[in-house]
Amino acid sequence: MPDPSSLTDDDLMAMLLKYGVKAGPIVGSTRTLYERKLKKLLQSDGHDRLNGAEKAALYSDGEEEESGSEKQEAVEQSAQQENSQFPQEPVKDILKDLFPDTNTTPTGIYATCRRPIKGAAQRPIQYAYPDTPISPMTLQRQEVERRLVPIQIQIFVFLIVACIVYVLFVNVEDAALF
Amino acid sequence: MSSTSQKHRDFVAEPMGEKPVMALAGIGDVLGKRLADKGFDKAYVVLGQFLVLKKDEELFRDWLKEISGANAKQQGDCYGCLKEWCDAFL
Repeated sequence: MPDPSSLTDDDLMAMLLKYGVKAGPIVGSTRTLYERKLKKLLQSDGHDRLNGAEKAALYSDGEEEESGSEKQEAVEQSAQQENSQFPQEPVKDILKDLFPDTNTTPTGIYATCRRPIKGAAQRPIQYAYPDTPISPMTLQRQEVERRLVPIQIQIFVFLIVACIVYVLFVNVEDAALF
Repeated sequence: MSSTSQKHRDFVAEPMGEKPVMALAGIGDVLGKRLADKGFDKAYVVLGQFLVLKKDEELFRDWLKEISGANAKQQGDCYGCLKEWCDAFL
């Protein structure tokens, strides 16, 4: 853990940036403030790292011994990430055990559709379906049409009546009708 | 929104010009003297420090506490005063 006081201004700024702190100019009046801030960040990170080391031992393949601060920081970050992921994993495993076919979702929210219960809530059970799909309107129309007189017979009757009237009209010589 | 003091309102109402550091809200005679001894004798010098810290509240409060021994309320008043002045005039 580097001592903030021994860093150059640029290094101090770079270290702060690693923690997501966009530092302003590091001049005489601001130097101590930023050093203190970095110290605070290093301390809080150190606490996390102590816990993370145990977890890292569980998950890593023993490559922590590699030299280079970059590797250390990568392990730190992955340890921190694993810290946050660890509480979630037991939940995921249980779900996978119960429902092995579920697809993983990015949000972690799973929804399983319940099959509608037949015969409940006014859902009548229909065992067989008609061969030709006919709409209810068509069925109604067909029923009504069965009762009415077919249109061809109507025209036929009309013509017959017309003929009778014409014949009567012609046969009456008497103009007394009018 | 907490109510602001008359001093705050007076300061924020106009450009600070050559106002002394004691004109800042939260900075009374005692704190003002301490700041002036460290070289911050005018309000604009404290403004300079505020701006160099990129108007960051935490850093500015730490700095003010460090340099003058201001308590939390005084720090807050001074920060609020400068922030509002900047929003209006900067």
